[in-house]
Amino acid sequence: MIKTEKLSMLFTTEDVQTKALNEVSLEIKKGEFVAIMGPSGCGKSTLLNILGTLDSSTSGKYYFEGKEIDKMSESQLTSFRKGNIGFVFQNFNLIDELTVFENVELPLVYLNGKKADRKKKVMEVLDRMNIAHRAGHFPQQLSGGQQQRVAIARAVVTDCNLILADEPTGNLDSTNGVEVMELLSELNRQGTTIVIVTHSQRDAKYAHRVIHLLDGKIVSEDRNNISIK
Amino acid sequence: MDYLSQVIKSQRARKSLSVINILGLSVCISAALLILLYVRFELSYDSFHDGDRIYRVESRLYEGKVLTDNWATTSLGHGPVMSREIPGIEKFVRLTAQDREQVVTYQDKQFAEERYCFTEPAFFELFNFPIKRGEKTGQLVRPNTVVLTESAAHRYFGEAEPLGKILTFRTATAEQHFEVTGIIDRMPANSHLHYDFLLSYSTIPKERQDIWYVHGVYTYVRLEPGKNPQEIADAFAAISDKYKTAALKHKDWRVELIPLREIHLTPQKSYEKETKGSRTAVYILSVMAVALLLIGWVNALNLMVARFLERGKEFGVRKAFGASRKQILFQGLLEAGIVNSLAALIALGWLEVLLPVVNSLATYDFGENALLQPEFWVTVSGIIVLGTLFTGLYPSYLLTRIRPSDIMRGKLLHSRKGNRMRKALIVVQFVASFILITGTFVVIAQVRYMQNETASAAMRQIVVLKYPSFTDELSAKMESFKKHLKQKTYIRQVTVSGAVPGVEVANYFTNRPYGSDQSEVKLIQMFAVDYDYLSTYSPDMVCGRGFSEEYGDELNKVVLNEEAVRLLGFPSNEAALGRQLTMEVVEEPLQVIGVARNYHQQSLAVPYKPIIFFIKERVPFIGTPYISIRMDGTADAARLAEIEQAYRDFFPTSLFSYFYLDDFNRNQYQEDRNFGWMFAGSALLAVFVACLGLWTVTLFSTLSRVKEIGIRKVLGAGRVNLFVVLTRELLLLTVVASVIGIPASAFLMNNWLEGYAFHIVLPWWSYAVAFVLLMCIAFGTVARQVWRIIRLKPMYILRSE
Repeated sequence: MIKTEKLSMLFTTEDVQTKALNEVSLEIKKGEFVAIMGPSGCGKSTLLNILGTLDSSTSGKYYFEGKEIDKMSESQLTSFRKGNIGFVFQNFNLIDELTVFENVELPLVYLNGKKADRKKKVMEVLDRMNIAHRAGHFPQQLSGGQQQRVAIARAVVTDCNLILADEPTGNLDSTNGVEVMELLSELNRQGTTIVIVTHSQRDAKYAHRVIHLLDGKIVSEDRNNISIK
Repeated sequence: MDYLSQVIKSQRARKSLSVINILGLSVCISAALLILLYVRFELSYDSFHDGDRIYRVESRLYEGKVLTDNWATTSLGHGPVMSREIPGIEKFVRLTAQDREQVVTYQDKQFAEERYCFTEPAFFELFNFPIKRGEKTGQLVRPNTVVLTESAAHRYFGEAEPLGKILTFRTATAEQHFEVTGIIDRMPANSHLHYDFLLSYSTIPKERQDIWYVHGVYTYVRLEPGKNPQEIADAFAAISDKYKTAALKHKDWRVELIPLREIHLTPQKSYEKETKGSRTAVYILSVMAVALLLIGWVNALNLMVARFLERGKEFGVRKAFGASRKQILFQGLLEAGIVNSLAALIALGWLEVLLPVVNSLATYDFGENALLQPEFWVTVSGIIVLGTLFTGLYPSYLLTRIRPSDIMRGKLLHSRKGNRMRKALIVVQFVASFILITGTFVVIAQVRYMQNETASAAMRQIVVLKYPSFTDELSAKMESFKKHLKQKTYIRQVTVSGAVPGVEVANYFTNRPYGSDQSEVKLIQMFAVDYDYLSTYSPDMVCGRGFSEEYGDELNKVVLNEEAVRLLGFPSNEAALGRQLTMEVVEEPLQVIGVARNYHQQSLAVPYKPIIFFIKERVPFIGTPYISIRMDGTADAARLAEIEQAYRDFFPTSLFSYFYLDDFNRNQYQEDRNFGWMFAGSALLAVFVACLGLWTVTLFSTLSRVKEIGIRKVLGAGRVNLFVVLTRELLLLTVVASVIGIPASAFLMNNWLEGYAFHIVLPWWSYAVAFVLLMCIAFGTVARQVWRIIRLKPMYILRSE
């Protein structure tokens, strides 16, 4: 599904050049659950953002289902993201002024779905995430765990193939953290490809494969004993 | 030093923000200062006299309870009688109020002068116009002496000694000689009196010095300490019956005493030549100045808060590492102080540029030496200090109050509480802009309407000469002059008259239908004309005929306009024909031979007024200062040169001066055009200030919505969609402002238009245009900011979160 060849990312400030990614080549198959680990500043989030097309690499190639992504323009990338990739962030990134329902509905609005269809779909997903009773609330009125479930609902509402999660449990206590990981795991079992960036060994255990990054380079890969559906 | 370098660094970091902040504030400060200078000037009128007990005595004539005549003058008899019979008047002085031009000659120097009056020696006791040269006392006692200003003296005598020289004053009917006995400084701009020549009152023939018949002098009195002016006015009412002339018998004849310092700001009355100020305008302007400062400060405050919040992390870190509240407060105040001082400095620059422009528009120098006055600098310093406290205290207070961790997380930026306040401010500014923009359109439309209404094709063909000054056999010479001109092929008509279109006829005399009761008298303007006037200016005749020499005896005939017919109570225009009138100064009855359609004798601000045309020889003492020459085609330079030559041949001692009626007509709307400029200027300022406010609010709202925009982008929102999301509110604000602005503007502008007897209906398109204009300006203002945010990669937005 995803293939990168010698991806590099250079951050240049006035007098310092930092290589956030150094010729990273990797492949992620459809239906896989991959965790990226490494110390702070090793380039995990950068890698995830490039995979999510939120950022583009300085050099190297990135193929998504055979299509070369780095050739695309900003607006092409925007429409490519829609419906293909869902995002989950450490700080949830919900819009405070919109209700839970409206937050989850937003990606469907941008896909120009019909209003009735949207409503049905959103309620269905909220139900799956066990948060439907909170549909009319605002994010600030929910607990961290609940907020992250809303964020996951928003990520999956378009039936996307790939979910990218940047430390999804980073802001949660352990109980809520486990709950979120179970949810992601469940989504993966239903066929969604998932890539997470994490510091937590416990979270990494949910993945089929763990990629270790250090100073922008892949240094090792572990496989957990979980079969890919 | 450390603080200062931090301020400089922080200003540099957001250059455009700093520039906008300082520039915007400077514009508000300079506008406020300009207004304050004007207000100070208006309030300073006649403050240079020791005038606490000095009043001007003004006449008020009532019929029953109705004030029928409101004059700034009194009769020549008021002063001496009041001073003699009413206790409490310490001193009085009279200044004659005639406005006839005189031609003044000294050897080969000759100028037309209007700024003269006859006055009494007490002038120098009541008013503070010190004698610079000549005897300090005893001025204006002798007949035929004159005190003049230094500039007037220079005009006639150059560097030569003026004292003892003789000036010749000529009107159409008389010639007088005056010896220069004293020199004074030019009367200051903030004086309601502006004379170049003070002629001795004793020159006026003895028998006419104290007559009651004419309300022709300004009378000033100085009361004894503790005397109430109302008592004097009441005392006059009690004795007034004794002195009433026949014309006043049925009127209630009173006086009112206006304090010297208030004369300038009381409403304009009849027989007042000076353009008066308006107390309401002074109040409105003062409020505007304060409002401008407040708006400028609030905008600056908002920008400052935005900057501080943007730099919240820096302050968070400073606090975390132990910066004390005092240090943070000091830094905030220092930054605000520098911003305010720079803004004030630039404001002074604006003022330097603007003052000459404003002075030339206002035609007087209200900023004279103003920038050198200590009180001006106190005001400027006050504005800087207040501004520094206003814009510096709150943001620094905000930062000292909250926890460092909150600042570091950028929590404040996402608070949208303050935004409601800011939006309300934007709406207010937009409403003001809307009203001023529509107002500008309305003023322009009204001025155009007035110009087009009064202009006629004939006006472009008419040149008007001033009547020559006194000389032997003047009327005979005038007749030959007219004949001479009429022989020229390009001249169609020549006519002599008491007024021309655009000039008030004045010369009010009482008239009543012949045989009716004395109580039926009406004051009507008497328009002295020759036989050719009506055909030259051709007002339509409704019925009857105009004057013609063919009929022989026309001296006892008059032509009325429709308004005069109505006022005199004739049932119809036709019914007036053949009827006779009794006019106060003519013994025989005057017969009505025609009725002219109402036309605009004065500007369209003034309603149609009753006018009676009569042949000028009937009442020879009513002056006829204008000679109108109507040509075929326009008056080019060659024709004018010919006319001038003829004038000089016939009237070698007179001054040739002329004007084109067309220009004259345009000039009478100069005040209105100035008002239009003022409106346009204020509209520009309001729009600028509103844009500044809008810019700040957009800065806030986009900053506080950056995260939201980032998320929306991640979720696939397109640029157009984001633009709509970010500017939807702006559209709403503009609509709200317009909805409030339309009725407010309609109300205000209708009120303004009501001041014109003839006016346009409010043009609906001005609202549509103002709305679209505001919208474009608003979007233009925010477009760049919004676009910048929209173009940011979502990645950067969310990472900076």
